Amino acid sequence: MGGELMTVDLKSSPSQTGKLLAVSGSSLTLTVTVMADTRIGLILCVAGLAIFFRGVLVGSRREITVGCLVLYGSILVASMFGVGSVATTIGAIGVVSAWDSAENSVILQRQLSREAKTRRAELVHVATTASVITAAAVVSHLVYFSVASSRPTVILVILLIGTLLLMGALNQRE
Amino acid sequence: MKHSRLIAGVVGVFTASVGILFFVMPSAVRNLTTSSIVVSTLALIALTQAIIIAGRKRSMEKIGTPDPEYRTITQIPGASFDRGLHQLRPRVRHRLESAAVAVLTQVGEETVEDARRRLAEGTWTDDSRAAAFFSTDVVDDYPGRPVWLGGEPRVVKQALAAVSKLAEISTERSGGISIPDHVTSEWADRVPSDRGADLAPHNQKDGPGGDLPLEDEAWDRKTERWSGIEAIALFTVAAGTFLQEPPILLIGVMGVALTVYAAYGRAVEPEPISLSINRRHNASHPVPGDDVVVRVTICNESGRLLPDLRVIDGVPAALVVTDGSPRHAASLRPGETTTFSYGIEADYGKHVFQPPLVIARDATGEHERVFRAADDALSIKCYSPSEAADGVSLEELTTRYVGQVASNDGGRGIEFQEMREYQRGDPISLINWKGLAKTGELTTLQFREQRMAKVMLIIDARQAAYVAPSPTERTAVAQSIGAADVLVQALLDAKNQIGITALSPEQCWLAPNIGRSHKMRARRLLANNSAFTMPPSAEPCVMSIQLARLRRRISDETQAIVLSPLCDDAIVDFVKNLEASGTPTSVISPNPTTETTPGGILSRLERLARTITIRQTSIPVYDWDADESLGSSRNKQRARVNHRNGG
Repeated sequence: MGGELMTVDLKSSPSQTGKLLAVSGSSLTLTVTVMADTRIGLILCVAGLAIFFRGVLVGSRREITVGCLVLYGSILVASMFGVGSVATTIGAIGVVSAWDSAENSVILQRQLSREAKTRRAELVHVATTASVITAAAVVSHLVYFSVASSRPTVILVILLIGTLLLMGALNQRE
Repeated sequence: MKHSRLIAGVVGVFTASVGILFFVMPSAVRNLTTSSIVVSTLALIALTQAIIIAGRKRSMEKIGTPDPEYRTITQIPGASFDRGLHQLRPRVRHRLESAAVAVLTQVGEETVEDARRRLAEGTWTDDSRAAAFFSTDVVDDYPGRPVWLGGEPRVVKQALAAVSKLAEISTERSGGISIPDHVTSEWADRVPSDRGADLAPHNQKDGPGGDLPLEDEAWDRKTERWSGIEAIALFTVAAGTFLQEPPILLIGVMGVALTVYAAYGRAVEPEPISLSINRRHNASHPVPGDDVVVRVTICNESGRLLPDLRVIDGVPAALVVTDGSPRHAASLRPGETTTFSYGIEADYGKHVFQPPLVIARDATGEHERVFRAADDALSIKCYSPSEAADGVSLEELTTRYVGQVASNDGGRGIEFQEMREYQRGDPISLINWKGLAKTGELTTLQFREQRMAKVMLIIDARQAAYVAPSPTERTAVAQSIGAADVLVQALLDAKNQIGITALSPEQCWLAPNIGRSHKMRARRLLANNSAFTMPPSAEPCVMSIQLARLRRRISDETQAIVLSPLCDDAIVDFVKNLEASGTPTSVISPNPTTETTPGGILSRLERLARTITIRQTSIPVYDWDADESLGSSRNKQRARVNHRNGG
């Protein structure tokens, strides 16, 4: 006779792969804030990690996003306390990677359940996003230092704001 | 176009133009670099826009993915009562009152008027709480936690007490219902909120509300996954500008790059996706209950990378997944294949796999296409093994009429009866030539003529009959088909003529006949006929037309066995009218009700009342528990009857 019917849990937390990737990304943030040696940055980081991990465990996209925003805040604070541009960039890469892997994993779990094999798809997704973020970081450094070295920084600011306003207008729904 | 979008666009174009101008002529901004007013204004613009974007409403559409792991059923008996209990809708109250009248009249042998009077007076039970539900004269003197302290409303407690008391009366007088110690409305919480309903058809495999693309459709959706990244980037640029912190400004540049990345995902037109889907299963002739492993191979024939592919296979509606998962995620290069497998439990009939649901996302995750992929339409045909008829006593199932009937009239059968004097016209082959040679007397061999019973199996396959105790269990229709398969084999083996029809909007007819080829035709009909496929036809099934058509097609000597869960009153009338029209009728009834919720108990009471109504017209009804074989269920039922009769 047939076996016991399996029950499908579509509201569970991300897969082990998703959790591992999320932890890896967020640990970069902790490293950066520890390096900065700032109490407020560290508090923000710990609070962000707590919210983020809770979101990962219960599969809540909202908590994952809020946790990552707090973590991002801790990176900004660490930057203000002189952690340096490279460390700041690495911290930002960590936050974005953590959010991306956790959010993607939660959606995968909701659509496909824990029983489905999703490891390869998750790894490919995270690898793609990580490549894009790293490329963005390299391009950012090149742009920033090439502009900042030859022209006033205010030009960069004007260009950035102009671009973002345009993108925001284009992305806004009808 | 919204004003905010227009303003942001104009300001964006102006700012970017100024930026480009200054980039080309850096000398023009030499005096501005240290101006705190300019810097503050820029930061303020960025911050304002960040707040506007962050506060924008997200309208991300959600795709409700199907649950192919479960069977598709149309109803769970009593589920709507459980859900409507706390609202105490008029329908719930009316249903409980009807059930109470039925129990008191049929089980308690009262008249309808007496039953209604006793309910109104509250004298039908000693339990004041149960009595108070139907009667305003009775005071419910039970203490209870008030609602504001988290207690249940008094009227809900009264309804639950009434259900419990009616079940108790029914058990005392007719047996068949086991009552739990106490009925609480907590049971209502155990009923899956979105699975099955008493009245509303629900298709598990098509997802909540069935809101999924059809076979030829493809939906393109924006997930808005990266929405808000512009706000974060603007905020970062504003913070970097205010604080004059180059590293923060640097990650602002990174934010802009990610915004462009997300915008690319939104802007690019999705290209067609081509997949080839191939299924194999490891069972050539599965029997009901067999585990069948299904192996699905998906090949990317799109000629480009498919970075994020999510596949939910179209498991046949009447089958359940017992092992693994019919869901799979993959990332496929051009020409690459991926394979996954899962186990299903075989059940009677022909089961066709449906096209799988595919959700394909691009690399950014901003855009996704949802569609049903063309597949190989694999099917599984499942018949019972011939041994399935063993152990089923047909006399017990069909004691009333059905069976092999031996006639005392001599004839041209196969069993020798006697020898008689030759009569003119007797066939030469029947003359006893040996006797003629020995005694000189001309005699004729006489054989016992055997009359075969003509039996028509009528399977209730209306939408109302697709009921099951839960989405994990077989529907009453599937059980009826299984029982019919067993009966076909056993009755044909006993040299009876068997025919099959279904109460369904779909055509289903096999005239009574005998023989090996007829047996195969009958089993093929049970396995393949559209009347028994899931999901059931939503067309109405008019019982009076069904009865008239049946009466026209069957001969007077045909007997009927109706296989039905008896979950509505229409089938009761049909059975009674069929018997009244001169067709001897029996009923085999798979029981789809449970005793685990108040609604389940109420449905069981209602079904018991229908059973008694039919039995009162001398039509035998064989109650068949879902978790038992047909034969053993019948034996238990007979033992219960004997016990009640003191025998």
